[in-house]
Amino acid sequence: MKRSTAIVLQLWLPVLIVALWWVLTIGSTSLFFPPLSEIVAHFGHWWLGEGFVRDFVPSLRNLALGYTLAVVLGIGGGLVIGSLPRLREAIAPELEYARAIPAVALLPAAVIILGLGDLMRVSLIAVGAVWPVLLATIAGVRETMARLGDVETSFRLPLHVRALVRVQGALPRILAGARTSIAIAVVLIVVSEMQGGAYGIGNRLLNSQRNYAISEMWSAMLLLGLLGYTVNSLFLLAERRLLRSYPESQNTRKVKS
Amino acid sequence: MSGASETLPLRPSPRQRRRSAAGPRPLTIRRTVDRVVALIVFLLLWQGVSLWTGAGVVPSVDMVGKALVTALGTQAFWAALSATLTSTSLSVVIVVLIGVPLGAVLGISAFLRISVNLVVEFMRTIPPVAIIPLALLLFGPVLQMKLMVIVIGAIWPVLLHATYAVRDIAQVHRDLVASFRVPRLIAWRHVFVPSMLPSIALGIRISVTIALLISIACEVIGGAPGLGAGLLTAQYAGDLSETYAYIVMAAFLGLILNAITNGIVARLVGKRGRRSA
Repeated sequence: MKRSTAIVLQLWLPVLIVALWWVLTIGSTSLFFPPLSEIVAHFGHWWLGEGFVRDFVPSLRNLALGYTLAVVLGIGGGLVIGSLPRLREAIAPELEYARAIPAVALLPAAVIILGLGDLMRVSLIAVGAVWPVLLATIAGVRETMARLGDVETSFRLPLHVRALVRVQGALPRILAGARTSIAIAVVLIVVSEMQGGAYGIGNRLLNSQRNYAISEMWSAMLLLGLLGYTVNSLFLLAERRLLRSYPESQNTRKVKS
Repeated sequence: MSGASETLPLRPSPRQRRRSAAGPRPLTIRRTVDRVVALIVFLLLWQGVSLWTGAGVVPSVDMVGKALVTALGTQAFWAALSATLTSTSLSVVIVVLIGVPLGAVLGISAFLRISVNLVVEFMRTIPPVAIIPLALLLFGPVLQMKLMVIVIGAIWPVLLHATYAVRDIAQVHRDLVASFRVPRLIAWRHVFVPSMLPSIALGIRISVTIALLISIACEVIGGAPGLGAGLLTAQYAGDLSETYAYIVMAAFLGLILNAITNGIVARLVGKRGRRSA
């Protein structure tokens, strides 16, 4: 297929949808579906203006901090637990249980323990998003050890080299887990801002709905969509680069979750 | 998903070979003891944290246990549990009913698949909770609102897995069906659908987890009836032990739903599926 044909094929439907949305809502007086032009105007006015610093930056900062914490804790903890088979076997039920907790259910407890500040949001994201990375790392380290454990032993590799070997061997799985985690992290940042707090995208979103400021609400939804899409695209890009030297069979991207 | 074992063409170590030959390892006495010890250590740690922070922040194990038992005796709790269970399972059924046929169509038609690609990619990365305010406006805090948010948030794994499952029906199978001139209906029933099931089952399993998460989010944020609303009531009432008891129950619900899904999947797919999914 020619490149230009492919681009046209990919774009005609999104363009059509946006155009239809625009045309069908011209002069719309519906409470729930304001004209798209109004939504876009509000988007430009607020999110590219005052709201960028007030709401967008804090959300993004908390998200980045909490997610980084979750990934670092997940890989570190997973490396230790995965490397100790007896420990892994012993705490398997607890880990399964922890993973089963719907992360949003932790919000009330987080508010009680840490209040309504940024610390609560960052911790909630870290605690809620750590499990997919942790369990993926454990599984990956376990597989790598089964494959390369004898090699490690016969070469008498020092501990830090073994750690490196195991993390590298587990990388495809870790990245798959990290991709699940980022989706949870985005949900958690929005939810955590919806309870208490005076700023953030989620806060803006819920407040505008409560005040029946519907264009504002739609523009916040639009922003969250763009944020989710951008984060996901960047992740896929990074994943492709990191996994370039891995064989095709490990390409977990084919099965998207 | 089992691709990870193919990184390097090394032979498995003797230990591994023995293990895989023996199947999954039975629960030996040592492992059982290990697990009991781990559980005791975990509960002791919890108790220690509770002592350290004070019961006003983290209530002790026995307080939460007591609250849990009390909650189990109330009607409100069971009503909340069944509300969450209803919205989660009902939306998964809707997701399957919409997602699988739609995915099948996308899997067959390359034109449609490429056309909707960007739309799907954009829609599935939207955090589902972003839709809660709109759904609240449209329906108020009721079941329909939850269903709307959950279906929009949880349909993508099923849709994508169904799409890939149909697209990736092995050429061998197509050739076989063609060369034996197997009638279409029989070919789908006995060749194509069985080969698609493992992938679709995996998609459903992911969707169930997402559905429960979003259901509880709708309840915590939107105040729709369910475990999340119970959680919120307990938090506002300042009843810490009850708050924790609800969290414990939410996780149990997650485990149970997982087990049920796995059971259904195992029955539908059989051993073959478990290996490749």
